[in-house]
Amino acid sequence: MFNKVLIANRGEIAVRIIRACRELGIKSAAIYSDADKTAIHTKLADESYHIGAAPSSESYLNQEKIIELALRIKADAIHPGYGFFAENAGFIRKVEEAGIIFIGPSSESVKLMGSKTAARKRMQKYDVPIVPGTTEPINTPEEGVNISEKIGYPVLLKAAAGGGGKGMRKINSPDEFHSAFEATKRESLKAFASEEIYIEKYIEKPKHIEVQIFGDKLGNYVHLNERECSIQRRHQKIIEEAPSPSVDEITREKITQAAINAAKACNYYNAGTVEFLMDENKNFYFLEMNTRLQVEHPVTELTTGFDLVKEQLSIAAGEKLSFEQNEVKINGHAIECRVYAEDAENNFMPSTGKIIHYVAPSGPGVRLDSGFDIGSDISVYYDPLISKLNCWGKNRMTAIERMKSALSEYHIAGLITNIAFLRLIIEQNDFQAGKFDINYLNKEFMSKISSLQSKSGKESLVEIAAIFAAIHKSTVSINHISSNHRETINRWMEQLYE
Amino acid sequence: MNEYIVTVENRKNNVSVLNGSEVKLNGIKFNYEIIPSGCESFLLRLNDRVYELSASKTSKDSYSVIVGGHRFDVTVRTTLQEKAIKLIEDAHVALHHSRDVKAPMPGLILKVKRKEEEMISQGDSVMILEAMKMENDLRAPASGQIKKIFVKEGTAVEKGTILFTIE
Repeated sequence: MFNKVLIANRGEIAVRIIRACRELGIKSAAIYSDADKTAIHTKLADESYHIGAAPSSESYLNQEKIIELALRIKADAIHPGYGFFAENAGFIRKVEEAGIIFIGPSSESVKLMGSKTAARKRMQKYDVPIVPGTTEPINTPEEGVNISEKIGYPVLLKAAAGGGGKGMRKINSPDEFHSAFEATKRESLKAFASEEIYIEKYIEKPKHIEVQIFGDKLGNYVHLNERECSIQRRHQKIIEEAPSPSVDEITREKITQAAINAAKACNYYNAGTVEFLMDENKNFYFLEMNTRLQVEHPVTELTTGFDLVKEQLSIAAGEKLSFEQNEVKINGHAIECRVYAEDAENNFMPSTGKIIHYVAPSGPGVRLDSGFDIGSDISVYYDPLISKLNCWGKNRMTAIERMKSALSEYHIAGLITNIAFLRLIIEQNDFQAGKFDINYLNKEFMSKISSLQSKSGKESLVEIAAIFAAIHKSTVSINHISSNHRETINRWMEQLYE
Repeated sequence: MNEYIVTVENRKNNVSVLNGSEVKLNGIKFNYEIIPSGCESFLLRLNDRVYELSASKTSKDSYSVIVGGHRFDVTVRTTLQEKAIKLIEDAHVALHHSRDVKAPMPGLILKVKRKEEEMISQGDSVMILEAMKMENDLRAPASGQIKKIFVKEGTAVEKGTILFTIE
């Protein structure tokens, strides 16, 4: 096993990796930028190194500095977390060349999965169902129109190097093709520095189902069943769960087998996730493979009992998978809510500032992975994820009830969070019945947010807020507050009253 | 006694802070206690229930209040302030601004009684809206000149459709 691991990330995922290292007796080395001097990961790690200024390009995305640091402090391995370098084949190759172990797959596997057309071709060869369409880039709009006639409209034009919903266009009829072709090409060039685009059939009302897989360097593979991540906003997952309320035993058997085939197709090792779209008839199609640890890995940990990060570390160290397929069971149900610093009522504008008050939820089946605490700054430099709230229950409804309760306990002040928005979704009948697809949070849902909210027990809170504000406006109450607390109140008053 | 008009989510509440332990909300009396619990944060006990809140001032009369996972923009004014502001606003409307008159409910415009550019007095009937088989007189909320009429006899309107403008 390793002696020391450098964690090339920040926030909750850096904290998660530090904890796994600690359990395994590995020294953890954190890096931090100017903006993260007081962050939890900076405080928790065995060693912490300042890496640069706040902008990611000068700190968490500075390849040379990070590899140089790893060599200098004699780290055996680098864990990339998710985001930043996790799926950057160029960085992985540099790490490999420096003689340091990258905790993740090989640069070849990542490179292969990075090109959507190459991945589709490979998947088809290994019996993994792909969305009908092309496995080669298309060169002219005419060629595209011909193919679209065959597979039927609507179709999607997609960037071969794309991801995250960028470089993607829906085409409903042949006359839309020419302009969409040029626009998608331009967008792809801009976002991914590649002009290659291809065609896929547009799947109506799909669910996002993904399978967690693991491979070791000895060629053994296992899956840890599926997760459903259909609750998304602009292709960004918000709520995830395991198992999926819509996957039955037969589908589960087929989709997990397909995921294992996908992993084998690219000689994969370490943790990976094979993403599928599933239509209303439970036909599923390969979407892409995420060659890293997923944000939503805790729902899998809660329902299978395995520690995915510890497994990643031991596999990277060359050890055999610590369990076999027949040991993987599904125990109960887990749901994850991503808590973001953003204003759901104001077009999801990111909210920045200092967390001035923080009360974390707890209780049976509640797990909170947080990278921040009271006094932490949520800055403009990084993504606005504050924490991941996970709730486990014997069945889905228990997990939902626990989530509702935990969200109402969760109190974060100083900036605006999406906690109320998450609660609103969890309380919807359609969500509770499992009746949703990736378009659930569409314009229609968003436009009725305000009318939905009044039903969610908010009325009494409105009155509480009204009473509270009035009492504070009134000097009478201030004079009656016990003298111990007067100083605090006075400080508050100075701030509030001109 | 301190009487306030507290506006939350476009709804006005009457709150009277009677003394250091009693408060009335829209006529209902509560026993209360406030204990600071952190930076800009407090515990508020109302009768037998305790709430954790955080509040920060956003402008002269406004607060941002966080409670139970929700965040509210709250405006607090004394009854006197509220009256003064309303008077000023009304005067503004009467003097300078045009005012849109909207359909109070969905229905059918049965009759348009007045024409554009006509002078009208507050309370004059301008049109008749048929809704739920009843004829409703739509009267001018203020005196002035009809600047524009947006509907014709026979037009079906939704709640909130702008019917005419008074200047």
